[in-house]
Amino acid sequence: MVRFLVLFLVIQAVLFGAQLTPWGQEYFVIPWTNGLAHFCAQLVALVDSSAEAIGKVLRSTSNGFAVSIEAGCNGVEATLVLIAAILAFPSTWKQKLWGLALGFVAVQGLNVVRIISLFYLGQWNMTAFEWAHLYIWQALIMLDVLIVWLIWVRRINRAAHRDEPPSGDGGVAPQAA
Amino acid sequence: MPKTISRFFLRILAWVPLVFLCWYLLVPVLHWPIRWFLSGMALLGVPEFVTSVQQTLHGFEFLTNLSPGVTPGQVFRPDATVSTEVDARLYSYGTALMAALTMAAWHPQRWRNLWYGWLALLPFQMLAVFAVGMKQILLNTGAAVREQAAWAQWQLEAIAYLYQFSTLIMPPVTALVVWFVLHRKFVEQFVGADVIAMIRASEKGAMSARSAPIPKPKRP
Repeated sequence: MVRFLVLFLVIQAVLFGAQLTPWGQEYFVIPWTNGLAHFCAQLVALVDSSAEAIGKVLRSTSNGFAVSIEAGCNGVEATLVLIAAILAFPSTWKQKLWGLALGFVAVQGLNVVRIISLFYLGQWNMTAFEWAHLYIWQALIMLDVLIVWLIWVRRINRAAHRDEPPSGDGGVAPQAA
Repeated sequence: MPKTISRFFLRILAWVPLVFLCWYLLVPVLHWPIRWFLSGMALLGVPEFVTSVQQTLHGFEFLTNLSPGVTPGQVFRPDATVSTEVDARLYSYGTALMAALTMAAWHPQRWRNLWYGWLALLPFQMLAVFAVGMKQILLNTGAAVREQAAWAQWQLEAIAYLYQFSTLIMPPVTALVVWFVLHRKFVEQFVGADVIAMIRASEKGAMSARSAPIPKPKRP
């Protein structure tokens, strides 16, 4: 248990520190955030032609309302927490890679929903926007990480049971990392 | 108690509005222990420039004996000192998240778990509010204030990192971890096994594999 906790905290701290460095910001966070804004703008444009992206800002050309995707809203931190939880958990590298790939899609998919919902919520009511932005969505994104991780652990557990010989004692036999 | 992950998730979504509303109304009470801790630190002179910490409706005000110095375009009274206010809700909403998860799980001992969860989250919230207060005093003000505080560069870097970590990761992650530990058996029904026992068994297995002597090949 100690090994898992230490690994989880160390991986998380190192990755979080790395993305805060000027190099991490320039080559990863800023391009990713800009790409996210453009992806959201293209998605919104399917039903609302007034949306456009300029850098990391998603704005409406009809009323001028804009949201800037800042740290904490680009899904990077939630993804880092998921990466740390998956890498720290005892499993094979194949299982880890599957978990990371599917988890990344689940977290970033929900994050796109967050950005677009905030974009429209802000145009409707700023109090609701502040609440959703500062508290509700922050909590839901991390909740998504927990749910994804639990589903991934369940699959690992099932795989471990499948690999067990039928005469086994029924105990859980996780695979070592 | 919900039997599947999807039902559990829906129950969380149903509890979130009510629990967050209750948390929002109870914030001044829930923040009391943080005030005691921060006031105690100020009394002990840690850090030495903070003279007192006062609780406001939604957060805390740090009062210091640091002079704002000379700032271009701004005029201060000769006896002016630096103070800053921290909106602690941004760092304590993990309590509401933990409460929503606890109520959605509907554990027979949910009220005890709520109480333990709140207590377990307090140290992290205290640390976050302290880090944000120090960041606002030392990094958001001018060089004159930093010179008076005389903190080393690594201390300023540590505060900047802690501020970022406290803002972006700590509130929800600590809430999820605390809830997870308190609801280990509940999680077991979704995963099909006790996750903590799985980790322990794996670590024990890895350790015994490392410590076991390598068997010598038998001669025919």
